[in-house]
Amino acid sequence: MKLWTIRTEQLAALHAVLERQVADRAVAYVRRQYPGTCAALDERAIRASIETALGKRANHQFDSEETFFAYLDLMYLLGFDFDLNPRCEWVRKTLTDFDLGPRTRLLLLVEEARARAGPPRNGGGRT
Amino acid sequence: MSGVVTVVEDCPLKWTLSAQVKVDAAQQDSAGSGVGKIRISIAEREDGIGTTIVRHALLAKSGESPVECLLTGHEPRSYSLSAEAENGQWGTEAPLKVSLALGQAQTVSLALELRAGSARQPGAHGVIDSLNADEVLQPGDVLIKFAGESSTFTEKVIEAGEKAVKKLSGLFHEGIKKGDPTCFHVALYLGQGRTAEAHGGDLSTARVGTRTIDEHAGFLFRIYRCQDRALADSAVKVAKTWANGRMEYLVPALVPFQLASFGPKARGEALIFGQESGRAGGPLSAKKMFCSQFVIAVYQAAAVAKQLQQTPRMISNDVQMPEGLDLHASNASPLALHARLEGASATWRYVDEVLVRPQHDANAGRAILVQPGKDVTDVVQVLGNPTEKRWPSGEWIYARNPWSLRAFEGKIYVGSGNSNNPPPAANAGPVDLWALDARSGTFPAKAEKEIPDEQVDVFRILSDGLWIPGHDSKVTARDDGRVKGESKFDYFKRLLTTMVNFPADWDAGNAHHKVGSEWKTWRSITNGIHVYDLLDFDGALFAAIATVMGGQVARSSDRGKSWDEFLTKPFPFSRTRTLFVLDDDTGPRLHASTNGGRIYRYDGENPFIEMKVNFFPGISDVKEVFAARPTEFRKQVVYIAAQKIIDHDWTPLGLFAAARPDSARALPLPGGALARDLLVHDDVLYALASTQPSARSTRVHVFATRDLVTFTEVCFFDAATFARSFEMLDGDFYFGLGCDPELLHPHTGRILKVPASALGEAR
Repeated sequence: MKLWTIRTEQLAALHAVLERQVADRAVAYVRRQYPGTCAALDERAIRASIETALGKRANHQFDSEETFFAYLDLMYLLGFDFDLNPRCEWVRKTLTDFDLGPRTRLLLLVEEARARAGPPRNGGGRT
Repeated sequence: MSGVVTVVEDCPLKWTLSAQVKVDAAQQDSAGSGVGKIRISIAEREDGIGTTIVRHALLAKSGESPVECLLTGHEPRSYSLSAEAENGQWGTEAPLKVSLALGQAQTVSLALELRAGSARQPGAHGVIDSLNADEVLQPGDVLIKFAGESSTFTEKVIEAGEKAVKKLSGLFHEGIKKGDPTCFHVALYLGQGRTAEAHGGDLSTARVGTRTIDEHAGFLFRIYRCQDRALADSAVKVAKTWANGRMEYLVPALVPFQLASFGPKARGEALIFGQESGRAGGPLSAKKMFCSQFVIAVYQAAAVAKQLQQTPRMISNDVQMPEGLDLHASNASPLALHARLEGASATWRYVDEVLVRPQHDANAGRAILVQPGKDVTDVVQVLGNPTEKRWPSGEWIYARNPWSLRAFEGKIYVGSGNSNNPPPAANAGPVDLWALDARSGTFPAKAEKEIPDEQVDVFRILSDGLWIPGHDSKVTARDDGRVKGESKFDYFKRLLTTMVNFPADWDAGNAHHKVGSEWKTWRSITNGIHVYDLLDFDGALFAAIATVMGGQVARSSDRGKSWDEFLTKPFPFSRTRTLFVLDDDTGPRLHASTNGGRIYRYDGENPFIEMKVNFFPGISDVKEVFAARPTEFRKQVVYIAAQKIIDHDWTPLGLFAAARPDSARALPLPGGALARDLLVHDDVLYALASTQPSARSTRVHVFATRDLVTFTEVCFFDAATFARSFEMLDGDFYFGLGCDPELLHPHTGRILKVPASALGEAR
C-alpha cells in the first residue's frame, strides 16, 4: 500500500522553493563577506553571480550549501570567471581533481585563495 | 591514531562514515617535503582480502584535512580504515576498525605518522612526472641530474671530465670534494612539470629553453631548494624570460677543469646578468650557455637585479652573492655547483631525490584521447597472493611477479619466479604453480605442481591443452634458506652447488604439458637453456629457445618427445623470444622474434631467414628489444615492444600491429598508456595498460578494440603498483599486480578480480 506519493511536478516545485531560499541566503552571505565588492554591484548583478554558481554545481560536482558558499567565496576572491581564467590555472588542478571530495576541493581552494589575496582590505575581491 | 567521534543523525535508516586526516606539523616540517595526496583505504577485512574502497584526502595548511563523508549505507557494517600518503612517506600506524549501525554518523580521525627512514634519507623517494611534479618540487628548485642508462654522448663527456676533476680536486679547492662526479646536468624547475635549462641531448636542436620533466625519463634528480623564497621566485621569472630558445647550447667539454671561484671576472659577469635580467632571450653578449652556467646565471641575475634597484650605479666590486651562488658561472660545472649547494646549508636545503619515470608508449604523441572508462577502483577484489608463501619479503618480492595469467578448465593459472642471474631474486625457482579456482575465487592450500624451472613466464593453450615453456631449467633441488637470509658459508655452499649443477640445468630445455589432471615435463630440447615460447604450426610443435650457440627455434613432430633445432640469430646471448603466425601470399607463415629487434621467417629449411623489416617504428634503439605477447587478431599480429631490463625480464616501450612483417605500425593506446598484456575474447582484443598519475599511485586500464583502429576504455582502477598480466573468464577480469626491479612493491603477486557485474555495459 502506498502511503504517500510525491509527483514529479510537486518535487520540482519543492526544489524551486528550496533553491530560492538558498539563493536568498547566498545573497546575504556575500553581502556580509564581501561588502566592498557588493557595494559596487546592484542586486541583479549579485543575483546573477549566485545563478552562475548554481549553474556550476554539476560541472564541478558540489551540491551542499557549504560547498556552494565556498564556490561563491572563490568567485568573489578570484573573479566570477575564475574557473575559465588562464591566470587562475592553479585552481583547476584541485577543482577538477574528482578523486577528492567536494568539501576538500573547495575549502582548500578558498584557504589558498585567501592566502594569495593577502589580508582583507575592504572585504572585497576581484570581479 | 586518535579517537572516534560519534554523532547520531536524524535518519534512522542509514549510517554515514566521515573522516579527517591529520599530521603533526613538527613532523611534517622535519620530513622536508609535503604530504601530498592521501589515499584512505576502507577495507572489508583487515588482511586486505575482499573489497577495499579507496577515497582521497588533502591536508589544509593547518595539517588537517577537511572532514569528508566517505561512505553511506543502509545495512550495519564493519570496516578497517587506513591512510597512506601517495608519496609513501606517511601512513597510519595501524588500521582503525569502525562498526557502523543504522542511525549513526561516525567521523573518524586518522593520524598520519612519518614512516621510519623517510626523513631526508638518501635514495629515490618518489617517481615523478609532469603531472605530479608539483607535489614534490617548488618553482626555483635546482635539479641536479645523475647518471642513467640513457645518457647522451654530451652528458658522458661532462661526466668523464668531472670524474677526472674529482680525482684531482685537491689541486683546485676542497669544496669540490663534496660534489658527486656522476652529476652531469642541472635544470631549474619552473612549476607545472616544466623546467628551464640549457640542454644538449641532440646538438642539432640544443638550445636554452623550457622542457617538460618527462623528457628526463629514467633519470635521478637531487633537489636543492633556495631558502630565500623571494629570490627563488625572481630566478624563475628571469629563467622564463631568458629560456626562449635564442641562446644555443654550449658543450662544456673543458669547463670541469676550470677554476670556478667568485673572483673579479665572476663579479663582472654577475653584474651583467643582473643588468640584463629582463632581456628576453638572455644577456645580449651571451650567445651560448651550458646547463650549470644557465642556472647559476639566472639566480645571480635575480640577486643582482635586486641590488641594482637599491644601487643603480653599483660596480662589479659591490656585487654581493648569497652563499651557494658564489661561483664563476662561465667556469662552473654541474659538479662545482653541486658541491657548492651541498656546502651552503644555511641558504640551500637538500630536499629529496626523485626518479623521473617513463610512463608512456613510445608513440604516445600519436595517441588519441577517448572517453574515460568505468572507474572500478571501489569494486576491485583482492583474491590473495599465493606466491607470497614462497617469497615473503625482501628482494624475493620480485619473484612474485605474476608474469602471466591464463584461464584453463575453470582455473586461472599464475606465472611467477625469476630467471635473471643478477639480483633481485636471482635464479628463483623451482616455481610453485598456483591455480585459482575461479568459481570459488580461492586458491587451494597447495600449489598444483612444482615446475622445475626458474620462472613460469608464459602459458600457451595449444591444440592438446595447456603448455608452459621451460624458461630456465632448474633441476637442482629447491633451496629456500637463501630466501630467509643465509650465512656466508651457506652462500658459498650454494655457489658451489650451482657450479656443480649448472651443466645439468643447461643440458636440456623443458616443455611442461598438462595431460588430463597430470603435468608431464618433456626434458628433451638439447642445450635448450631457455625455452621462451611454444606454438603449433603446420602440424608440429615449435619452441623459441636460446642455447650457447645463440637464438634458435626447435621443432617437434611428436609433441615434445624429440626436437630438431634451427638457428635464427647466432652468437651467445642471442635469444629467440617469441613465435607467431602471419599470412603472406603463400598462406600462413611461422615467424620468430629475437632480441635485437629482428624478425625471422620459417621456410621449412634450416636456418630461419632474417627479414629486413622495421618491426618497431618510432623506436630508434632496438638492440635489446623483441616482440612480446604476440597475439593474432583479425589476420594481424598485435605485440608489445619489450626492452630488456636485467636479463630475461622486460619493460614495455609501445604497442604495435602488423598485417605483414614489412607493414608494422604503431598502435598507441588512448592517452599514451603503456600496454603490458593482451588477450582476445569474442572477437575483441583487450589491452592491459597503465599510467602513473602520481608518484606512488598507478592507474590500471583495460582498453578494447574490434578493428585495431578505434579503442575504447572498458574500465580503470587505481592501485599501488601496475598490473603486469590479466585474464578474462566468464566475463570477469583477473589481474596480477607486478613491480619493476628498481621499485619492489609489497603488493606484488596480488591477484585481483573485477566482476563482470561491476562492468555492466562498459564491456
